[in-house]
Amino acid sequence: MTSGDTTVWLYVCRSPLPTSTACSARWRTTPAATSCAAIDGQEGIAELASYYPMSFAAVQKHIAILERAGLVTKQRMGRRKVVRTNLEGLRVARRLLDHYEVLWRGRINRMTELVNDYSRERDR
Amino acid sequence: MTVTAVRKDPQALSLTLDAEFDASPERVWQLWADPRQLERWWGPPTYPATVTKHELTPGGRVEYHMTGPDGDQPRAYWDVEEVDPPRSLVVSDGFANEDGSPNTDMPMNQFRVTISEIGAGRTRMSIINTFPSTEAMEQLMAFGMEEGLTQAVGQIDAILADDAVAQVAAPGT
Repeated sequence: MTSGDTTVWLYVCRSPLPTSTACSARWRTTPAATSCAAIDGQEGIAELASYYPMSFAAVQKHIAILERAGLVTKQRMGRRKVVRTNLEGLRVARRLLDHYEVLWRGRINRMTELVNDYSRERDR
Repeated sequence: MTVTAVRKDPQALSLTLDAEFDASPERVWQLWADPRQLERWWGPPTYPATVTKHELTPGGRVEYHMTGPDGDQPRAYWDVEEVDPPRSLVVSDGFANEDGSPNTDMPMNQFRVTISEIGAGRTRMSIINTFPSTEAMEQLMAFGMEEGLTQAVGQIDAILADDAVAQVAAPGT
């Protein structure tokens, strides 16, 4: 899957990625349905589009979103522009998700206490 | 163990947690639908939340502030996008200015809550939290750190250790 620096990994999410360019205001995504595919090679957008049952414009849009999210970069290779996964970006994202996991675990623990308190009161 | 599964997808910038409760879906729904209950779990004891507006309807808004140990009161809100009691809820969570208006300098994050009965008196709640960018995650986390929303670093270590075990158990995934 790798060929050194020239490896291009693109993770194209088949389900809708955030579709609005106004990402910070409101974005829609169905991450649960997200299935990602890694593509090897030195692909431009046109080649990548050919792998997916969607239009060039749609793939272009997805790549733009991934690029804004810091997960892929477009790089010039000779006369072509290729899309490359930003592995450092993925590592950072992974670490940040660990922090949010801790936050939500704390919340869920408190939810559990609340639900259990309620059950005890009811059973009394 | 209430949390039964955690999935992290760095490509989609999403975090999914599944939790199970010995309670009905209606009871679990109340954790979100009753502002007084929401206040009791949203923030940690050191940084409790106070809900000042609670419109749990599509297009509605929930407004709240946290109260820190120094008396600081950062404000925040939810834009409610989808509500289907007691089954699902989708909201975008953002920070607000002093006057309660959305702080457009700060990114938002979205979470999708799904509640389903999995057996007599047992309910699963799934939360999918998504972010628009890694920068947004960092920005929100920095804010959260200041607000004491995150907990002991030791917990993160424990999670990372769990991940390492999971990776050993399932090589190549």
